[in-house]
Amino acid sequence: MHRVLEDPEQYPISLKFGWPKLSTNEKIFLASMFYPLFAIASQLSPEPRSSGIQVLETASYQLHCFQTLTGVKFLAVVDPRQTGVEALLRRLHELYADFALKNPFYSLEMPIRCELFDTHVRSALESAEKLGVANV
Amino acid sequence: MTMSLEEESRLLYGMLFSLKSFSNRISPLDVQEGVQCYTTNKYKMTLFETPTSLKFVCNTDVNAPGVNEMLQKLYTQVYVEYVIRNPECKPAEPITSELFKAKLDETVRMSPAFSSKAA
Repeated sequence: MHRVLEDPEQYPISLKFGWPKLSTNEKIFLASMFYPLFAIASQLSPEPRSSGIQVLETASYQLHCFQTLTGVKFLAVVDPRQTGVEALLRRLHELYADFALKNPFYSLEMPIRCELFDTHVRSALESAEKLGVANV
Repeated sequence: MTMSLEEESRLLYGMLFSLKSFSNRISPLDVQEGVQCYTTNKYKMTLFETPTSLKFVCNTDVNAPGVNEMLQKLYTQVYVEYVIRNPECKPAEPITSELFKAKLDETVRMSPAFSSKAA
């Protein structure tokens, strides 16, 4: 790390600091934990026909959930000050439909391994980040 | 939807328990602070947890203001005053005190969340 920073040939340099990425298995594990919470939240509702959890807030972050009509859930863990998360998740849904579902090599229910999808998600995240602070 | 009070409280407790472990696992930061609230399209659940993991939960309208403050007030000004300082109330038993009930009602009625719903 220091060697990279000291080498003048590396500049201009762009650095990003973040949490180590979760493995796919951990993500599946977390998603399967969220699923019953989502279902119970709609059961516990004082009013009939409530949706599941849409926003989960803690002091340090917010979890936004967008459920599509077909039941696919998009989740984003963001800073509490972030705005426009709803729009971001809708955009991700659009990208999912365009680059995953319309891809003949993609099989349903499997992790998405498609470069075009990844680059578009990344650019969507970056444009959302310009409007605030995002972290997925 | 019909559900007995006991059934509902069991379900709620189980949910809060798993919600807590879920939120700690998914947290992007090291500091682990519990869930404050979640929102659905019909209601909002606000949770206030004391350091001794006593939990105060209130389900409100999505836009109800100051619910967290109200729950903190319930703890400091109602629960501590009328339950902890009441020798008749034993811990881990349902609270039967009438005075507690009256004060609880009064505090909830005074909170901005209550009046904003009536408006």
